[in-house]
Amino acid sequence: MKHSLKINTGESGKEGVLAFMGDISIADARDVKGIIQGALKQVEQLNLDLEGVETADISFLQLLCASHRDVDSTSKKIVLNREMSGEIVGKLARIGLAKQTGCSPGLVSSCLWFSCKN
Amino acid sequence: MSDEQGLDSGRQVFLEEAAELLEQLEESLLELEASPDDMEIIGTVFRALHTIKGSGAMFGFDRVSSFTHEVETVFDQVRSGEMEASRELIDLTLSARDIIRGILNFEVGGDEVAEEEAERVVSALKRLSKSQDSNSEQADISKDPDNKTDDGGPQLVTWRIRFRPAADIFSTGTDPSLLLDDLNELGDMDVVALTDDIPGLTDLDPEKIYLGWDILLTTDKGEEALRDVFIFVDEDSKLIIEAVEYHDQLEDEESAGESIKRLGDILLMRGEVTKEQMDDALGSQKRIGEILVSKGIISESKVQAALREQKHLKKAKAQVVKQKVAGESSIRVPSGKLDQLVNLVGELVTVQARLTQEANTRRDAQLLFLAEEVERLSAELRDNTMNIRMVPIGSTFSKFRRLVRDLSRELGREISLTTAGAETELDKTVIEKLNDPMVHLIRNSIDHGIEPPGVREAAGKKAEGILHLEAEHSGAHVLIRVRDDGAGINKDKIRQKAVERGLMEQDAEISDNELFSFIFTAGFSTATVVSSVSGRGVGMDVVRTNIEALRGSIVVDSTEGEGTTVTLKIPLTLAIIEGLLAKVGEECYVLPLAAVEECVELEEEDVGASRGRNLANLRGELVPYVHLRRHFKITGDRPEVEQIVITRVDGNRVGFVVDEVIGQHQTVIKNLGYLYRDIKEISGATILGDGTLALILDVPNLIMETREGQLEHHSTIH
Repeated sequence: MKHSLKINTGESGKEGVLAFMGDISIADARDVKGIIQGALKQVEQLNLDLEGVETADISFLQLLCASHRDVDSTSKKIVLNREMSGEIVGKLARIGLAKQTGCSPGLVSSCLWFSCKN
Repeated sequence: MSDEQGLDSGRQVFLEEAAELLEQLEESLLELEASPDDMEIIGTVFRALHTIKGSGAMFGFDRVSSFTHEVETVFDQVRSGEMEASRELIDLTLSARDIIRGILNFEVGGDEVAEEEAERVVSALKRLSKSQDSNSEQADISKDPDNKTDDGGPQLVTWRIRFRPAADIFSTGTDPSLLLDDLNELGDMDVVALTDDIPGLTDLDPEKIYLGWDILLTTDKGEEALRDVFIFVDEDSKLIIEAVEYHDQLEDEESAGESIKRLGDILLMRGEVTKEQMDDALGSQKRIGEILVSKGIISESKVQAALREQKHLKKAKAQVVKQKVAGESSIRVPSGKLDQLVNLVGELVTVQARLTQEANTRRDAQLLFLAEEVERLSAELRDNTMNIRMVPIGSTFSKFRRLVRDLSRELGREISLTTAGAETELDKTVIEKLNDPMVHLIRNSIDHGIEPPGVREAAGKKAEGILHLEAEHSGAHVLIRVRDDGAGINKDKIRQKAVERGLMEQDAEISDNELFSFIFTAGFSTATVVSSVSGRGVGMDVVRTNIEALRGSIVVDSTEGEGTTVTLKIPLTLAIIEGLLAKVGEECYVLPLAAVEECVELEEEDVGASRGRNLANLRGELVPYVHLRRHFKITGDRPEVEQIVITRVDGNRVGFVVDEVIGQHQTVIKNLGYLYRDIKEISGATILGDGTLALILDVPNLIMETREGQLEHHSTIH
């Protein structure tokens, strides 16, 4: 697993593009959590770039869900770059995440994967 | 796609299927009346109602669906043995069937249905019905561990699988997504990830799993196969597998749209909400899912899972229907398309005749070969096309059960309807046009033929009369008989009435057949009492008109005290026939080949006359004949040797003298049109290969007209 973080300052403050690459598994889960938490501390909006992710297991996708849920109650934002590998898109569909329309009561369209809805 | 009614194809298909189901329903109810304990018939009735209700809901016929639901609920009780199929219930269900048909007709522009009648039927059904908790749709679903249909084949079942993996499942090396992939291999799957338990990032242990899944899987694999997927999942994981729907449990699952459960029902079944919470939410006008989420009763993802389940079940049911249709290897085609196909084949046959003629004229061997090939192919195409239009007459017979039942009651008769030859096939158009004449004949049999029970018993007969309908093929015709064992026709009354009306002389000697034919005269009735059913003299003439319009004929045979048989002789098809083309002067005529027995040269010494009739001596047999040249007053010289086409009509041989027999001809029948409707001797016209017209002779009518003409001539000179 590899990652990169690029930070720019835009109108809404600091925006970062956090890109993950390669294969991501449960073995990387703690690292990924730390990477995301670190990135979120630095920016107001975190854009996730998964285009370079070749494979990812549920632990990774669950981490992204948790990250999204974390910022939901704050002023920060996490935005998912729609450009994703076919592998990830397929996985989201197969495990039923892509069909989510909301991830907490009352927030019907707040799901991170909403844009991936089939 | 849009059609005349502006209905989409699905709704149109439903309307067609519903019409068939209603016929089947009526038939089954009448059978049930005779065998009220027959569970198979009860099942058939239930399934018909069940399918109409379900498919109606699926295609937006909500009124049909809700009304049918009331009837179905009662029949569900009959099916479960809680109620008996009483006569009252059958009466009400027959009325309900008529109301459903009325509602469907109204949907496509028919008359409004009498709401009071619908309410009356529903109220009466509810009275009959025992009180029961109808909120038990899942009652039958706890069955069948083997996943087998009644015939032992695999049964399609939709399973709900709730999987909540143990939090440390990753540590056991199990990847839940692989389990989901394995499940997906077993059938059609929909999966919703439940994310409610995922905490914020801060609280999340990245090596634990917080996700859960609700899975809908429609498969023909048994529960064991599903459990095998999770065989290595540890015991701390929660796994619930339950059947949601057995798609074959209703034997023929055309009831696809049925029981598309509402979201609220699904949430209740899934145990996501309580009945109280649901009732409370239903008091609002909002969507149930929104209400429950906004009240914090359930999460959005659970609503989504329930919605997914609803959608999945719809899809699975549609798939079952699709497979069933594919399995039957048949398709439903609008009859208009068949008519169009027949017209096109007719055009092709005409062009083929021109091609053959052209080839013969040119004497080109290659062209002749091609023309013969086209002729062979077009004949095959014609036969196949005509065959597609053939439908068994049984469905028409079945329709009359209700008529017989209702009329018997109205007129105080006890009648048993028997049928034979229901499988006999006739052109669809012919069958449709047979309905009205048959109704008249049946009404007449019941009203004037079959006596009331008391009268019958006094005459030494069984109280129950028999009305028998039968059909059989006879060459290019079908014979349909309506027979009763009633009082028979009183010949004296017919004779008296005929004399009164100036139809015959007081002492004239006429055959029974001729005497009985008077009953088909307009306004002719011997009934002394005019009932709502018959006796006004209107009807039997309509029968004759309709049957003649079909190029058919009627023969009545009756024995006083024993009964009457009316035989309708109907051509198999109205569109294309095999004909014998003959020439008289410059005119061409077609005689239906089915009626032709032989063609012979007519020598001068064979010609004679007797009592005003032309007779030909054919190998020692005297055969009456019609000289077409004289009959149609065709000018020009007669050939030295004429030909006589011998036909057989009603068992009698009659000849038609022509100049020349040209040969066999595939005859595409064209109507002559309204202006020529009174010309009985000609049944239509056809276009020949060279573009000229040939008239198609109506042989029976031509004989009759000739006979009447000769009789008139005879009586004039007498």
